[in-house]
Amino acid sequence: MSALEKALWLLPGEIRNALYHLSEKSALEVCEIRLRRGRPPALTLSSGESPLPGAAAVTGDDLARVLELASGASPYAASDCLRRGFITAEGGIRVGFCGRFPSGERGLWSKNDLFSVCVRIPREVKGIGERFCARPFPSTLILSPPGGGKTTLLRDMARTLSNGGMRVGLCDERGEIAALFGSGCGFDIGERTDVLSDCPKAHAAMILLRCMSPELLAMDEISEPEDADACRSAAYCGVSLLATAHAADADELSCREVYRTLLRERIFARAVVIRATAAGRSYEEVAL
Amino acid sequence: MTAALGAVLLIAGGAYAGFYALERTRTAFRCAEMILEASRDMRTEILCHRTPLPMLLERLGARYRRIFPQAENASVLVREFSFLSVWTASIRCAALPKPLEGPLLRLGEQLSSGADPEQALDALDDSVRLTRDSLREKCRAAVRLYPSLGLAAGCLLAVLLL
Repeated sequence: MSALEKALWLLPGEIRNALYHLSEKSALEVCEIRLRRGRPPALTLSSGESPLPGAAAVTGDDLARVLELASGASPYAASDCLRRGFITAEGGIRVGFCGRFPSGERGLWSKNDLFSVCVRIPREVKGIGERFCARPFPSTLILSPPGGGKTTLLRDMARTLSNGGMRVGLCDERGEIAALFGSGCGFDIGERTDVLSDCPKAHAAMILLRCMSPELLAMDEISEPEDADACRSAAYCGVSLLATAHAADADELSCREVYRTLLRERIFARAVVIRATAAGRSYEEVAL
Repeated sequence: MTAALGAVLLIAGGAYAGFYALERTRTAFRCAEMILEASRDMRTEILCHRTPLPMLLERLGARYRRIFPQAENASVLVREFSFLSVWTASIRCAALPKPLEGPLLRLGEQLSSGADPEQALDALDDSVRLTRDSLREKCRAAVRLYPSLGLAAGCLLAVLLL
């Protein structure tokens, strides 16, 4: 079942039925399904956001139904994620919730608190990162604005390097990269990859470094000082790094304190900048 | 003779009614015990394994068919209907006595709304234990009563025949 098909089962019946009538082209392009109370559902395509044809305005019951389906009808099982405002459903599909953030330590949303929901559909695209995986592999930072395809590229590069013989340690804090479930893995992350899922990145990095002796440590979205410290520790242990960051280019990176120290200490040797163009995405390698 | 026959029929009818009521009480008692056992399983599944509710309902249905009938496809049904409606439908299918059905329906409401599972299960256990204890007392009282009634009926029959 494709990621879009899995995402459809997170939606109320009427919205799901409207999505079944999408054109094949749109179905391949859609990367987000957005539900906002009082407005028709919207799809994020490569050309931007457009309303879903044939669907009525979203109600509070629709949003509550998405919450029920995404949490597996088990609020207690998803409370850890809900406290951070999202759930990662089966297949690595991240469902974000917005509205009046619930008070109380269990972070449980009620129907009246919910205002909007974003269902993010992950894509597995094999081969896009192969040209950046020459050995010896220099520590690499993948840059793009939100929704630019950083996780997709990270996944492919980790897979390529792992299949090429490197032991890869993957810090999958939100469960989106590998999409572990039951006894399996939702995405191909390579033959020699060890995954630590649903664990804060910095903590996961230390565990992987101490226990799994990785040659490459991969993680998504370095944003906190602890994440930067973990990268530094890994680099000083002689481990290569593959990470992503929200930035349009290397210049924007140097404006932020978290990254300035990493750049100063040359923890990362290069960046791969993803840009959206009319023809799709372009990948540019720049030295750091 | 007619009076004796009438008395025999009356006594037989009374005995049957009594036996039927006793059997229903015993069945309700067994259901209460089963619910308490299911509650222990639920506690393990929810608190230790964090089993999702639809899967939990399927497992309960496999083990306690009398309490949770028609629960095999709960995970599939939840795609189209709310978990609460699937849970409620299963409990109502079981046609349990009202004092046992009510706490189970409340449990479903609490679990699906995000209430603390441990507190919800504690509340279920308390309600069902009370019901079970009262059913046990009823059974004991009936067992004490019927021999006495039977003796009285036998005496009446003897008087009528003699």
